[in-house]
Amino acid sequence: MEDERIVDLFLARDENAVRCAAEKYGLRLRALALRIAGEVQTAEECENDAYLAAWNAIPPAEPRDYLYAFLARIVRNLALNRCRDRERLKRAAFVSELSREMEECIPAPDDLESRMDDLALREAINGFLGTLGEEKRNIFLRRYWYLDPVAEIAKRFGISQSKVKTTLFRVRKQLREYLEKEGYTL
Amino acid sequence: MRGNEFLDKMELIDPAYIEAADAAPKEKRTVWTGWRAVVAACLCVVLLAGTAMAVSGAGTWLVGFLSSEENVGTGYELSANIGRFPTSALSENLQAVSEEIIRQFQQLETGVYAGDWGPECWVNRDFSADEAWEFIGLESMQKTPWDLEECFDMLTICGSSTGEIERILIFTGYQMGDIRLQADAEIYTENYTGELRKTMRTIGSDVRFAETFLPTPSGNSCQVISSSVNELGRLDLTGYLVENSVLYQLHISYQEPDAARAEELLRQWADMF
Repeated sequence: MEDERIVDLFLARDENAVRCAAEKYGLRLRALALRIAGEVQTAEECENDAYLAAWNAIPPAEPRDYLYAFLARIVRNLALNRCRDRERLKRAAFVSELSREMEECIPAPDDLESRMDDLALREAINGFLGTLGEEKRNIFLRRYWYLDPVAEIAKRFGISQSKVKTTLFRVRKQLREYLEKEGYTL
Repeated sequence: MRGNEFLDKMELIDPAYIEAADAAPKEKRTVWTGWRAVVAACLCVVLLAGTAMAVSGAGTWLVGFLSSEENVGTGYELSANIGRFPTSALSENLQAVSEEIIRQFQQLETGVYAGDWGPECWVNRDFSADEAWEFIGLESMQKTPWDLEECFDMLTICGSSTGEIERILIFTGYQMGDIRLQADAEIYTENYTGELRKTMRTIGSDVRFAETFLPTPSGNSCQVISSSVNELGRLDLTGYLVENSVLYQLHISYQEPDAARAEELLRQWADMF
């Protein structure tokens, strides 16, 4: 079923919306949650909670053209929060590692007074991603959006792990420079 | 803002970029190492065997494996050689289904189609397996050796925009402790002209598959595909068998401790043919 029709079902408050979304994207969403949380049970909970969150968010949201990204974003947030909340040490360590890497992108990590609002930050991040080549952009997203391990990214793109690490390092540096140059302070 | 907050803020990334990053990379370099090379070598043998089987008669055969780089999860693809059922042998109930399918296509044209399965399919979840067979006008051919309550049933009848019935699928689910079973029967009518391919996927990038054959008492052969543990910690065991122009499948999902029981269930099922 097309995304647009599934969103129509959500808007019409038809419970088949959840079933159709699950049939179409359930496998991918669960796999995403499993990669982040590292636990089958938690992954299933995140997937189910995501449908409920989508049910509550549509309307007013109408993600007709990006239903998967919409659901995946919810799953990602839920899975990240579960990792932090429940102190799953191994997974929390993985998330901490990613957080440390992300910190390299921030021009002034301690400056809480001058946070960018989400609108400006959205513009900044997407503006920066638009300057990257397709492969670099996708590697960056696989690491920091999908939270893939480096080994899996290397396998996916048919490149060595060291190349992935180098690419990520350079992109993080470029992002920091981009934000500084554009006058953004986080 | 700290790193963990910035990691959360990645949610602000444009959905188009997110979708694009989840698509298969355009150019891939395949590295044939380890078990991949073994699988590739086995596949060559399997393809030859499959070609021979395709020439010799009804059955299913492996045509390839699906890697996680190209698809969601890993899996395999089968081709099948199955006789076509004459629609004249089926119940008059299918005339009403045929009219419903035409109506669904018309609704699609006018933008009011609201079904869940696409206009080409008519789906009924209320029939038991026996009732589904009765509805299509055939004596039940769904052969299951166990006496378990059906967890779910689904009769799907698919046709063209002009109402010609092409495929009939009867799915029945069972649960035995932590073992999940799904028995399927598929019928293709004389109106079906497409190539017959089936795809099976499981979650995980490193799931391996092995193929064996079980002889049945009637002299038929059941193709069995077993998987290694997937990311959900479960294994799959699936039997495929073609008899009297019906493709039967038994899909068993289980955890490692139930491996012997799962194999026994599959053998019991194959022995019914």
